[in-house]
Amino acid sequence: MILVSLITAGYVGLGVRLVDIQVLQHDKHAAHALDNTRRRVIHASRRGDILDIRGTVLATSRIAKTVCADPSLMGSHQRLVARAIAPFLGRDAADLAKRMQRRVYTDAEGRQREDKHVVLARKVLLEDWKGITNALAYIEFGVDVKSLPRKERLNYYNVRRSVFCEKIDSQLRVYPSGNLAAHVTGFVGVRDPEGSSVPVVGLEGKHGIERMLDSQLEGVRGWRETETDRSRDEVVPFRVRDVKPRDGMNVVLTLDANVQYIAEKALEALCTKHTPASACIVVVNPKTGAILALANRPTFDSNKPGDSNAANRRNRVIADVFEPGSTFKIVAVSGALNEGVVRLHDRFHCENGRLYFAGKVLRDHHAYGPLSVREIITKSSNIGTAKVAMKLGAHRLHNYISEMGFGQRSGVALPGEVRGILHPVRNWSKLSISRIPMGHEIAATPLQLVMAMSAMANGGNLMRPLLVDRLVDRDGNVVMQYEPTVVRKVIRDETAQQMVKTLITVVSAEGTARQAWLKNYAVAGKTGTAQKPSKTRRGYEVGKYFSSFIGFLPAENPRLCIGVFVDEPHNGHYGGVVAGPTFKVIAEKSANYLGLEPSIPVKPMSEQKPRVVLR
Amino acid sequence: MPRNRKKQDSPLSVGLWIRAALLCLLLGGTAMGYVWQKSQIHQLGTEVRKKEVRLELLKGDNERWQQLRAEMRSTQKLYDRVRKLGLGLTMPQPEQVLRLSDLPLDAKELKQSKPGEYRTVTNKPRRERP
Repeated sequence: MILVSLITAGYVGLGVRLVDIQVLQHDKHAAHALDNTRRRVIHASRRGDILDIRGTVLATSRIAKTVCADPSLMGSHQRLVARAIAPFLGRDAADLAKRMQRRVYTDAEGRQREDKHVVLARKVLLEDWKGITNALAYIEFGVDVKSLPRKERLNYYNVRRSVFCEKIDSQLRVYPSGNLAAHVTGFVGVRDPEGSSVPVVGLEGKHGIERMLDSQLEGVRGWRETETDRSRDEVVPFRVRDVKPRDGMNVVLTLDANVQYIAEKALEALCTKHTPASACIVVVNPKTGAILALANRPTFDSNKPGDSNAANRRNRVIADVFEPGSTFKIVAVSGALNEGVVRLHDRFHCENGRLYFAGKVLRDHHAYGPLSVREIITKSSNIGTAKVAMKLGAHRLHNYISEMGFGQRSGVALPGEVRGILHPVRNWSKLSISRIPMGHEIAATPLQLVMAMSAMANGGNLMRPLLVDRLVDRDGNVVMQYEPTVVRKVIRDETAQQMVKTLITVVSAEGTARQAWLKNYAVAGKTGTAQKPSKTRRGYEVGKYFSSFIGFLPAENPRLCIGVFVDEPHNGHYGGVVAGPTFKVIAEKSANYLGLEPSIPVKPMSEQKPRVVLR
Repeated sequence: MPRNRKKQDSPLSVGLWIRAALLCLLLGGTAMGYVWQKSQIHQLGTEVRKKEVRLELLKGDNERWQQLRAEMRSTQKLYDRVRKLGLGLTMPQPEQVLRLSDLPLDAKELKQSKPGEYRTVTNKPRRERP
């Protein structure tokens, strides 16, 4: 009787437990069971490429793996494994073996846990990962594994699978041209999986176009909800949801890799000759505002941005401001011509090189007497420009400076652009009206100066700098086309034509930019040589200059506007001497490459005398 | 009156046997079909997985070749290669460039010109096709 009661009680207990598990705690256990098999796999989208206007790849992506190890499965074979995989990871075997040593750590709940997920290397290419799996499959332990008992055999099997890769692919960003246009393309870094339960390590643009168009380049991640078997392999029929990733768009820039290369080479030669603190070049199409080349020195390699310091990575074309010097004279003179307060043949006395104004002396580099407005620009007279600006008046001068884009961002699609410095008229001193027209007491970025010169070249339209031509999808369909934009009309067509005629004389035997003269093209431009303001005291540094030349060609129908800016050059400091020759090299080569029709008639080869070249 | 036991009908008739056999066959066939279908699904799943892995590898290869092509086409590499091979290639000078106007299809002058002779023709706008 007792036995029957006990058995009955046992069955009743089991029944109660069964109901407890199957009914009362059903949700909890069902979720736990599902958790053991259900997996959510993230598919990274492929980051879009960055191309130049002719399709040359400036940045591309490759699928890569993150290689990890589970030291708990290795036993004492760390060195053996490290020797097998080290060549594929490009790492020292001893270093790897040390990294794969077993370690314990204390978790948040204070429990001791063994580290089973050690990241050995990121961004390992697929072919290298294939090499690693092969190397692990054929690793030699020095014993006949097959003849061992099952348990020991399993240990060796575990060693082979102790190195694995993360389920989520990462990407390796490659810049095939190295440091070519590095400040434009920028670089990427690792995105932190902020607030995400899934450890997704993606790429994030950190600089340049990579940063500005990060969301367009990145694309949209896909995911898959599926189940795995005991060996954690996917059971394909149990896929619940499979959302394909949408790859990022390709960005086509207005840059031309060949013009960029020409500019970079010329800049290198300039830096070798004049050893400046920094230098930069911008080449734009003045009619559209399209940037064809943008180069900086010092520079960096986008493939290894960490190897360079922040100063090398700074895009000085938009992030640095300088007192521009005489290149700024075009603003005051064009404004005065546009307002009709002066005419090109009006003459101003240049006080033989010394003008006392507001208690200070304003000097010219030569003692000039009376000069026409055209000659004031040709010879770059400070006193003459100051007198022209005084006729224009402070308010109208400020208005023209502002209209030409100074003191405001140009809107170029690059991060870190600064406004420059343009003080309101109420803050001007008595001296300002004589100093600002010659490019002092004002700070501008090289890009602002080039865009202002482009406005002179294209008939008076201030263009928005255009760096991105279009966005295209992976199949080559244009998703977004960026059109040239006129910001505003700053001077009349006739004034612009007068300015072009005047600026042509700068690049002549009488002008300050003789070295920028070209045989086949009429060139117009303006030199600039500014002393650098002192950072520690009032006034200017002795022997430190900012030299520049901005010119365009062919003068009558300009296709190229080139600005060369050199900070603290040695072996000469005049803009015409330091920047002029570099302008000439870039202009000649770029015009040849782009097939610009010479504006000065050239004799065909057949009509020229044969040239004997001795080798 | 009691019935003759010898002449009594068997409770399991042939028809019943046939029906039972058919039912068994049906159940067996359904079970076999179910297992076969599951096996097929599993097999197809494995094949899909294999193909996906293969596709991934091919995509990887494609990207590798694309990168190689991009490197070979990079301006820097091309200039270096030209210099290394000593081909003496330089950009043409403007005087070396012969500029031709866009010849209209119906230019009569073109027919009259002799081989090797260059002529300047008036560039008339092309007629619209009907």
